[in-house]
Amino acid sequence: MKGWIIDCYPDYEHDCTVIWIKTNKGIERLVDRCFFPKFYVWAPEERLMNLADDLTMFDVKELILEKKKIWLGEEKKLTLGVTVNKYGSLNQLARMVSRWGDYKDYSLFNVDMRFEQRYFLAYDLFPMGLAEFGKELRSIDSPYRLEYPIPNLRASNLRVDVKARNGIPTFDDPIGSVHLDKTTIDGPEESILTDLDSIVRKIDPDVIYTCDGDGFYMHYLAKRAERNGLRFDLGRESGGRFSKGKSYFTYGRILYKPPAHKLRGRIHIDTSSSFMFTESGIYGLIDLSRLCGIPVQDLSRLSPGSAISAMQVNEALRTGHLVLWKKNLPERFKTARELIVCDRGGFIYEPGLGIHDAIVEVDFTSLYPSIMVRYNISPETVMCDCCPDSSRIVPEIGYRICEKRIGLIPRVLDPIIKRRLVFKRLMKGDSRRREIYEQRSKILKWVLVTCFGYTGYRNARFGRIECHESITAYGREILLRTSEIAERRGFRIIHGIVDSVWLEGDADPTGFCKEVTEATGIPLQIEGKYKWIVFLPTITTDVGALNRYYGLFDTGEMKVRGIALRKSDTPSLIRDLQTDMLKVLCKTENSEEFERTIPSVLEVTDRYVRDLFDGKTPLEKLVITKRVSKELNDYRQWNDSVAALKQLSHKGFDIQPGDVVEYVICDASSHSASERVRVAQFLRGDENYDADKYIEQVLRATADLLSPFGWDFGALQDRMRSKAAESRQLPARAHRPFNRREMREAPVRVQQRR
Amino acid sequence: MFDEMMKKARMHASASTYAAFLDPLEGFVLSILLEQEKSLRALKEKNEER
Repeated sequence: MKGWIIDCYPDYEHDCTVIWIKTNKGIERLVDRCFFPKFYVWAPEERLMNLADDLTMFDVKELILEKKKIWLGEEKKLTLGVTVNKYGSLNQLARMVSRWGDYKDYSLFNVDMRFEQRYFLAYDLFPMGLAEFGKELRSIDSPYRLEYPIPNLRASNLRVDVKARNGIPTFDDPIGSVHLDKTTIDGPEESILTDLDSIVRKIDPDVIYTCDGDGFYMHYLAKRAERNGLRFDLGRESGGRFSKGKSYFTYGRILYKPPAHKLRGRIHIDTSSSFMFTESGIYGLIDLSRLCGIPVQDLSRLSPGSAISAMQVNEALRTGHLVLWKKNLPERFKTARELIVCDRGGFIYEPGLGIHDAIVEVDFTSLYPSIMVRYNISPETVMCDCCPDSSRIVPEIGYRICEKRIGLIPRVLDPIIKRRLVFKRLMKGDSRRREIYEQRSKILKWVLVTCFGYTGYRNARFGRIECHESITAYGREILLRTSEIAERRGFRIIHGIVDSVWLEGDADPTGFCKEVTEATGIPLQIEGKYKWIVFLPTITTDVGALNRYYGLFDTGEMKVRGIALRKSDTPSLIRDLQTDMLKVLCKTENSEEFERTIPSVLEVTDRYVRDLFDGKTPLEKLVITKRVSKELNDYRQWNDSVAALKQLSHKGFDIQPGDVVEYVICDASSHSASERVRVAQFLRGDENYDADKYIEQVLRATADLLSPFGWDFGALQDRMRSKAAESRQLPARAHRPFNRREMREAPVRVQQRR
Repeated sequence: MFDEMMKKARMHASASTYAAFLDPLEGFVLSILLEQEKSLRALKEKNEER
């Protein structure tokens, strides 16, 4: 029999591994009672023997002396392999051994690995791969195949309607109805739950999609079932795998990760919380799952960084290495001067502000990963012991790079880079399978992007800051060389950032790209030719900002970066406004026409302002989404988000830091939480909104696009004021600069005017 | 006036980072001097045209 491995997990109660295989006929459940996980210990030989003696007193399955490489690129050393008898005892035993050695004498390996990853490696299997089973389970597929058969997965969408008393559903609210694909189940709660259970069993889907299943609904359904005295399980086997939700801080933001609710034998994907699913869809997930050996259900809840880590671990284990538990690789001491030279990012040319005609944008495809492969950058190759006189020297910082062997990271990345290029090429040819190739190439892109960051992450399995420094140093060198070639060929550089350059001039871009590709060994491609492009200043100063621009390609497509339209907290009103403005600008061919069109763009703004003032703008367009960074009590200042949080907490809802609140501003000057804003979920539809506040936002969004042309926020306000004076259509007070005190005395209410 | 100077320094912030001065003030002062030199030249040229 043949089939695809869709799920694999340990059964801690019975100490066996359960594997679910999707065949063309249906589903098979296999149980493996022979597999037991193993960890390794290294210490000087004598101590190791003593340890082996001591361990025989414990309930271990096997103790074996093996020669293994304990760090990348090192020679093999004698280690003690400990196979445990019980799945649950591995961590306990490892901790005990570590304690015996006062946490320093023994180095432990292969301790904190994903269980299924161990299993797949031990038997040379991989998830979503075709396998043959009968007497034994055997892979008949290769993870690197470009074209491979995908199981015909049956998918169902699950949606739950809650009879929420307060607008926001809670565990205390009863179920209203449940929708499974096109079937609606309603009636008394108990029968909804039993019906759902039997329908799921009948349809027997392989994948269940939910929106916010992890965050709320799966847990909610289980709680409701409990309350009705029912057992509830959507998996093919009872029992789930849960994890707790948590808030965490990353890159200056607090984010919230909802608790996982994984099913057994079925794949539950929460479309709202899975970054990788949103980015690349199921085909991307399947491709990556094959490559990194993590089942789709688990993978959908991980970050691309975990996937690349898993691939590195797999490669290391396959080549006879062990993976150190609690890695401790301190950064070597550097002087302040060294730090200033080494610790830097990508190279940047400040953009020339305003509009430019006929610009070519050229990009390096996956620059940083390509550098790692081309220049052999890996934790064990940078400043290796074996090549002190290496001729490969990192520019600027002078690290020497190994010439004798290829590092782990390049070995892992090379096939991924090539794979992505193939998918990108295939995408252009085959229109039928275009979507599949696109999703696959997208997920690989994310994996490549995160790979670079992981080299600079101290806690990453194979992170080492010197790699990070070398990569950025090569990156800067390459961009500089690119600009030299560009200038020699008669281009003028308008803007450049890390891996892309914007060029002005009549020279031949194709020939230029070819020359750079040959000179640097990394492919440079034309991203597109712009009819015109506008570089915008930062919001606070009028110096050019990186990554804030919009431009029109000669294909008629627009590229927009860094303006309100692209930001997640922008109300859809502002998004519509900027889209409408860009639609007008889209019709212009060059900067001259562009500037002539500005008056008609301002008319778009006028239309939005008038609608706002007349109370015609629908409330749902005004909803602002904000990420909460603290708990309500930790906030010191009084603002819209705090008002929304207060309103929510009043009705008994606690919002975790990192989660979002959605609200409409009703009266920005009010000191009362209930009057200042209205939380989106509590909207009844007859609320008054704060027209002045939103008009201010409209003007700011207009200035966002037009400030290089003399229309900054102040100028737009003046214009509106004089226009109002001319037409007398709008009362003058809305056009005066924003004045809080005055507003407090007599808040403008749209409804009052009617 | 000070804001103007700050702006001039900011215009060359990326280049100053690339140069990796031990003392950030070096990049700061050089940027301002460079911009001043540019405006001096522009003024001189204008004067000569007249």
